[in-house]
Amino acid sequence: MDFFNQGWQAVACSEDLPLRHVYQAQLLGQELALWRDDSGAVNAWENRCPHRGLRLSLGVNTGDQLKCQYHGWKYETGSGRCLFVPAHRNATPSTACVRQYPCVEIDGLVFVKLDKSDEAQTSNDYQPPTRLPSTNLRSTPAAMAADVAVRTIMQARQSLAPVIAAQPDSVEIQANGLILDLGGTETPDKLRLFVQPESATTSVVHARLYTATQTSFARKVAFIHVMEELLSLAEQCTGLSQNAKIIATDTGHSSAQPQPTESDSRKPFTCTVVAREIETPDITSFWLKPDDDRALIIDPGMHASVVTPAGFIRQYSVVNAPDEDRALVIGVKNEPDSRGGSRSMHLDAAIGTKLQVTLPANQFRLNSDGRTALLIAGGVGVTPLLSMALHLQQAGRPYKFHYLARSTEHLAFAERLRNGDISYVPHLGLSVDDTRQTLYHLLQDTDPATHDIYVCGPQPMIDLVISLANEAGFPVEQINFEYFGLATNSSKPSVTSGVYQVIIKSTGKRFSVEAGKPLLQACLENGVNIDYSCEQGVCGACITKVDDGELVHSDVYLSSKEKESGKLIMPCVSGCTSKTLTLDI
Amino acid sequence: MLKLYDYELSGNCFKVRLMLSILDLEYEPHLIEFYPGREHKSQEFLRINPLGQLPVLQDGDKLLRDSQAILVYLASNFDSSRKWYPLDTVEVLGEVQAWLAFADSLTSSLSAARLHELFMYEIDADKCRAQAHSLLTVMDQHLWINRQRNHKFLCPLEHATVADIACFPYIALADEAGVSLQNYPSIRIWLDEVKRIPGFTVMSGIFPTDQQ
Repeated sequence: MDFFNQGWQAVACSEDLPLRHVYQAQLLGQELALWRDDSGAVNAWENRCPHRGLRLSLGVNTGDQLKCQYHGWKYETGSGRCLFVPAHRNATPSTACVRQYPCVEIDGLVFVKLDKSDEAQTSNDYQPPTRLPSTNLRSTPAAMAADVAVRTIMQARQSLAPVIAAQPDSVEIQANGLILDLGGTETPDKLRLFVQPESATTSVVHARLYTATQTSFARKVAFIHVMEELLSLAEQCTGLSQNAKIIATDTGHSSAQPQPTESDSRKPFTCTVVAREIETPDITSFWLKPDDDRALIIDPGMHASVVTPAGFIRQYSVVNAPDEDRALVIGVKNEPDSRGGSRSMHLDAAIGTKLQVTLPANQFRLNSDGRTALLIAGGVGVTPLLSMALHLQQAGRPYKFHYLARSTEHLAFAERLRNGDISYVPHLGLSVDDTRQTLYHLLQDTDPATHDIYVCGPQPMIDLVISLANEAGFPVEQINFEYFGLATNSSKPSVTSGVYQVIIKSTGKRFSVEAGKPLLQACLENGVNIDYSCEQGVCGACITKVDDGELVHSDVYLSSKEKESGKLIMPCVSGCTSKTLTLDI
Repeated sequence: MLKLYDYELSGNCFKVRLMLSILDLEYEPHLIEFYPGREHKSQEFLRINPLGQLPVLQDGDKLLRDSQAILVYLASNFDSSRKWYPLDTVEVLGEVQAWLAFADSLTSSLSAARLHELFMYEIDADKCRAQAHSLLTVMDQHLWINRQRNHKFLCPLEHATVADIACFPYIALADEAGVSLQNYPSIRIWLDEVKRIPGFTVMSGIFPTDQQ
């Protein structure tokens, strides 16, 4: 039963997702909006519009898009990306994107998993208990934790005898986690129950009956009554009013989930350097193993924020393959003009060194819109793209990988590329003009309708790719990039501070924000509480007054006038270029 | 012309407006300020309905109170298809009546909790919500069983009846009562079906769905 060990949980019966309906469900405290597009494919989305937080289950399923009821923003099936904003109908759609979860429909049930780390793993190893024809029985909500529901049903298994046409004392039950298989000695019929952990205190029992005889109506009704008595539904359901508010809350996952969640990973944890390897003359890779032996959730393109032995906080891309969940692998370049962080890693991070690590929200994610990923790496910028290539390769999804480096000797992670069976095109020792020519032809020969671009490397190369991609007809939202290291034109900060200092006007509190770290995150970590919601510069929840500072706006919320005024900032995505930023809070 | 003593935010008034819209009947609205004016308890309105409740329908010199009674009146007098109050299928009239009574139970539970949340009525809202969950469980089971027999609506017919119109508003407004419909998937599918009835109209808090 490998399928269930991968974390898939039943959340709905297929027939509960008719066309043009939006189904509301909850898994481990996370609310979901499930909907079937007209082609039959099921989307499992966070039940929350990125724009203003309204439940998407209140929205309208238009067949290929889900329209939020509040301001009419429309999100596309498959990708979850915003395609249309009624208030700006002629403008480029917002960059907003609904958070999605892996979802499969098998044997009449819809399965979702919250942990996306091994999305690549296929789920075709699902085994029904028998090959007999099957049908769903009514799903029963229960005001009890999933494990309690499992125990309750196990103890009362005899009461389910009529449902499988068995004698009560011959009913056999087998539990596999939250899955229960029932059968009897003198009946070929089987009943499989899937206990869906809704929250820490509630669950839903889905049921599939396998029988050669036409399932009689009486059996279906009998099952309803047995389950109702069993879980004494009526009075316990009074506990279910917890989701009363129309605006969904951002509670994330409940503690009932055994695996660490993404929000857990945002808290610092200690790692030990268990291996280091010289990749190229100036790049060394480090293996960082969490001291608490947690399984890591690997999202390709993600960063690790590492406190180096000399006390600098630096962000490094993670090169892990999807199944490498025991240690983070990062590549660190020893920049001659490094601000100290990289040098400190190279010189001081030996095997056995303890480092503080956080895994911030991933800002450089792979889309799942079905387009082919065109990965363009320059030098050490290969790290996030390597992780993406490994994920795509394992998932059997198409990608093209171009790797620009000075020489063969400068191709980092050669062994990892080989072991992962990654096919890539190396471009070695290109001059500035040759680089331009190569990228120009590459992008001109790539169809924007079927490709997304992911580029990481030195800033001039990224800028070049962006402008050439625009020229080749790629819309901005299909060009995903990540700058590596500091922009060359940014002011040179002092060595001891990060990129800029934040001053809180009301309290005089000061703290620094290092390169690449969201201002919002820095504020929260320093005890400055700012309301936030979408973390995409879209919803407006984190709007913050500014007293002084040269702002760089990356949001789509503020008007251009507000941006020019320099008095407001959306700290979830925007930052500043001056050495200090004074927030008027 | 028909005249409706009406309040925009009342689910019981809405069900009458919904029926009028579905039957495509013209009427003259007469707005009564339920909150904060408490106009439904004014001397003037008590002469129209001594119970001090909305809505009231006036047809010529006839005055009719009680939203379920008004639905039956409209359907049996103005529906030429004779489907909405299915007088030609007498064997289901008992079931229609049972669901009309069920709608009254929804008023005393779901609607009461909503009055507490919206208009600060001194009502034991948690008790009302518990009652509402009991009712919704019964209804969800019923609708699930109906779906097994390919019936989309409350009564065992091909089409909706006044029973569906009577039960619809306060369930569609359950969020405002602090009651989540998360555990009632068959009810949520039924809400979509009611929203697809030709002539469906909305009120504050009740959203349309895709019409296909």
